[in-house]
Amino acid sequence: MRKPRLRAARRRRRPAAAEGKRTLGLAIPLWLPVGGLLLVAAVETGRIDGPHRDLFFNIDHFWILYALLPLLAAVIIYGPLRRSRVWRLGRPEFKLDHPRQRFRLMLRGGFGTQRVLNDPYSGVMHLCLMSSIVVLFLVTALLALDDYLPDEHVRILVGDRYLGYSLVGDLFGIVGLVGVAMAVAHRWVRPRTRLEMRWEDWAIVGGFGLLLVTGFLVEGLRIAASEIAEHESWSYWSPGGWVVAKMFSTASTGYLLDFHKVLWWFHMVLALGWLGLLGFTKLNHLVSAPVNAFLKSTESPGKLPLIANIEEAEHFGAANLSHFTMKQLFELDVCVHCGRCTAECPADIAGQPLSPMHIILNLKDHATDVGERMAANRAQGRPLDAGLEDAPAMVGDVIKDESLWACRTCGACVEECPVFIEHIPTIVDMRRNLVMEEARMPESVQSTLEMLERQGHPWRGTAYTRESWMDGLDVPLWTGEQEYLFFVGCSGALVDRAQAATRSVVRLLRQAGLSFGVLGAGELCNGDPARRLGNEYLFQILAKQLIGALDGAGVTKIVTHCPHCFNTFKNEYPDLGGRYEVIHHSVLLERLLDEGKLVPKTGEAQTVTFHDSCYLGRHNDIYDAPRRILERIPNVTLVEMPRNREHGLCCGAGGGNMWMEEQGRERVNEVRVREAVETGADKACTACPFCIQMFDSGIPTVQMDVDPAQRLEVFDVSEFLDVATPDDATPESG
Amino acid sequence: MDAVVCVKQILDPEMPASAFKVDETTMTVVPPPGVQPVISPFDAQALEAALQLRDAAGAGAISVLSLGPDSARDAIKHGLAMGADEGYHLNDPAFEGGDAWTTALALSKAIEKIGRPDVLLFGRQAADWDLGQTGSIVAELLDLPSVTVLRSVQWNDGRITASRVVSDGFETVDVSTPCVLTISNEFGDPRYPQLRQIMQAAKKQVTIWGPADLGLDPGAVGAAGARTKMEAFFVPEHEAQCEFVEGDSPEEMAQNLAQKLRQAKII
Repeated sequence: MRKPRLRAARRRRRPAAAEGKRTLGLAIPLWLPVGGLLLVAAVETGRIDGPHRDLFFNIDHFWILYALLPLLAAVIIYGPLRRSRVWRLGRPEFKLDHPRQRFRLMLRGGFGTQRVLNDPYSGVMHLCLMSSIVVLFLVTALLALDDYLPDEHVRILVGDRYLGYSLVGDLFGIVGLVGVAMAVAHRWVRPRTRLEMRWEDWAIVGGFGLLLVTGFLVEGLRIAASEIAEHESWSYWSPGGWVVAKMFSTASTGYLLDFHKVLWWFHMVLALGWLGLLGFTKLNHLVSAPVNAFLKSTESPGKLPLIANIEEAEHFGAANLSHFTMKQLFELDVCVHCGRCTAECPADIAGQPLSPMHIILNLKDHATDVGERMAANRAQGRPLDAGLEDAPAMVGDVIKDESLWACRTCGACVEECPVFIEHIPTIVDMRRNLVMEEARMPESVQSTLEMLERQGHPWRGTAYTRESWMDGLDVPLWTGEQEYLFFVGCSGALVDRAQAATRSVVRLLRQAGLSFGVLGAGELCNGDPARRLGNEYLFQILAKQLIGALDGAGVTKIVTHCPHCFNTFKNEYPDLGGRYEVIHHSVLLERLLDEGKLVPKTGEAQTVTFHDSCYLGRHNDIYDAPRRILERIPNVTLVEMPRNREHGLCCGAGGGNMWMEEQGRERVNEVRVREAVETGADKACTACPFCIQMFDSGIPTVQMDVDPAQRLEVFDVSEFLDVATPDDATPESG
Repeated sequence: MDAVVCVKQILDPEMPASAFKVDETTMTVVPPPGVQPVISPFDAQALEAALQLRDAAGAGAISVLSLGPDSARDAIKHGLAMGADEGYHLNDPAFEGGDAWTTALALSKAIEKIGRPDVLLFGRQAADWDLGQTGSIVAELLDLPSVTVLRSVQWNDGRITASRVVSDGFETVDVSTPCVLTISNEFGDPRYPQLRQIMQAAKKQVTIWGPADLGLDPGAVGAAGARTKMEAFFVPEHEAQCEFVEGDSPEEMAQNLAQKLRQAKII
């Protein structure tokens, strides 16, 4: 018998891998320059007649520079201060729970640029630019400090210290030039399609490049005019400047001095101007990104914010900027339009009308246009919308309805964003406005919501009742005595294909001797689809009704069949007072395997690829349990699709899209099925009834030319385990 | 333009057929567990028609009227949430077990009590029994012109232009008001209520009337006044047979299929 292999589980144990990246992220940009400078400062052999340079060589009136500094500070402070009027339009809701966790993310994810490194090319590019900026800033600061030191006996930048200092500065200047070259290649030579280019990109990258070039020129001219003749060995420690000096070796000293003077002032004014970009361009992300990391929710991205006291709410969802929270408005200005969110967005991958980056950017532009005017209205005591009758509507004009509906709430954008923007609540807030305020939605959404209102499930046209799947299977009904309630869910009970997996779970739980029961006809949708579709009111009605029923029946532990039910029970019900110990069937089954209560015996040789459900994986960090179940089934070889685990691609059904018509180039499920087929696997495995249905409907389209018997098949992980764990004692007639 | 829309609450037609059970001795439907009764879909479309007519006319009051048990209040509330102004509920044990005639009688009295509107709207038929009589009987009782099974209505300064669905096409009718209109499913989807309207509707009072309020003798309504009598009530047995049409080539299969259909006198 061949031993089962499982590449995935071994390949990436998340904490270790992430830890490695964090260390790398922190080590290079921060510690290297600081360490380098400390090393230089630690060398104690400096003598004033050793290597040194005149601080303001050849420059008169350098006090002008210091005089300009307050102006720079004013620009840097004024930009955000003015913009904060727009942020303050929002609701003042800041969550600051788990401060240590937030602080850690700010250090590692924010200053440590952990996520930037996920993309190798732009990760290296960013590292070059960032380390160069940090080091050159410190280098300049040290120079200024040296200038302040009163006595030449205590000066720092003399002797070997000066030589080391010069070398570090020059090296990071070159590193910066490499970064600029990479950025230019990235943007203008071989532009990545997702990257949004604006004038600030030219200003930041071009400005920094020019700053570095003029820096080397100024240094080289100084060396050529003063140093190289007497102390050429000193200038080897300034390799960039030395090369420039050599180029100007034939020029007259007068020419060198004049040219130096002009360039020096140009370089300095450019430097101040470039730093001024901090005040009003995306360059501010070097402060705002860590701040945004600190403000990021510590809860699951699958949890949507509660509208408390909805009966008394003045508005439902977000119709204009003032309906967002301050944090939601702030993070619009944090976006660096790198396009990583859009590159990973299932809707965009399938050519559908949604780009998370453009949701953020279009809102940002709207904040600049309309938001500033709203802020002015507020400052002058006028109604917020005074004079804005002709302004474009935020929902409908600025953000198109179809973009909001195309969102799967899969969290790929949130996972990728290097500056920790949370797109999902912003998108769902606008959906809430569409549904509850405007009652404007696709027909399929309306029909789904009506089904939920009327029948407590979203499946229009189902031929089944909540007990149909039990026919022929001895299923224990909940008596209040059992340990676990098995919450079957609407799909598990009412959708033909999903019923098979429900029955497999029941057979396995019975076989393992677990004490459990089901609610049967008493079950009710827990509200997940209503909430994702923007009908928070309906969600709360359903949730409160179900919580009443569960509490009344004495339920404390729930096993769910569906990851969407799991997410809602686990992450969203506590806000409404429903507190249960919730476990997904894949995790429970793995535990029963560990305890020896289930023992897989047989299995045909098969290659299986595992598809992560977003609401199990990204939203709840369950990646390994279903894979480890497969690992234990004899003769299963697990292969991974290129997009897996945190970076997995949604099946297309999330965020209520299970019940919507897709518009765009192709369907998301077809993209995903193609990826599964390309692994060469015989079967696909998942742990979600939506994913199964999406695969099932995508396979015939993708494998149109393949004999149906040879096509990819998709099963729930419980079905794999059920087949491998036969138990003749289980009563089963149908 | 004032309108009264008569609505009926019925068993949800979207529920699975397997959940539909009847008690043959009491001749009633056994309420299926977990399935909420709903407003008859044609009646929701009649409400939509009333709202559109009022929008076209510029002003007017829309009243929702329903005869039924306590739960029928939800159908009235649904109409209020969609945008109607007043709700009237004919709810009394005496009304139970009636037929189209007794229902129409009670409705017509209620309509006179509300005040004759410009337009009186019904769904083309209740989606449970599918009789399609009540609207026409009310028109007769109130001596109003009636145009039935409409796919569109237009307000023309006190007159209505309506398009009827007939077996071989559409028929356009111009009718004076007051009149009775019955709306068909071709009219299009009714609107989804805004949450604010749902909340306002929840707070609105619904007027409840019994036979005495309408000046009717309890013996004239409900089972006592019914002119039809149910003899038996059962779910018919459906038998489905599946037969595969054989053939060596697609052409032959098609020929065999055509023969079978001709034998069955379908073509």
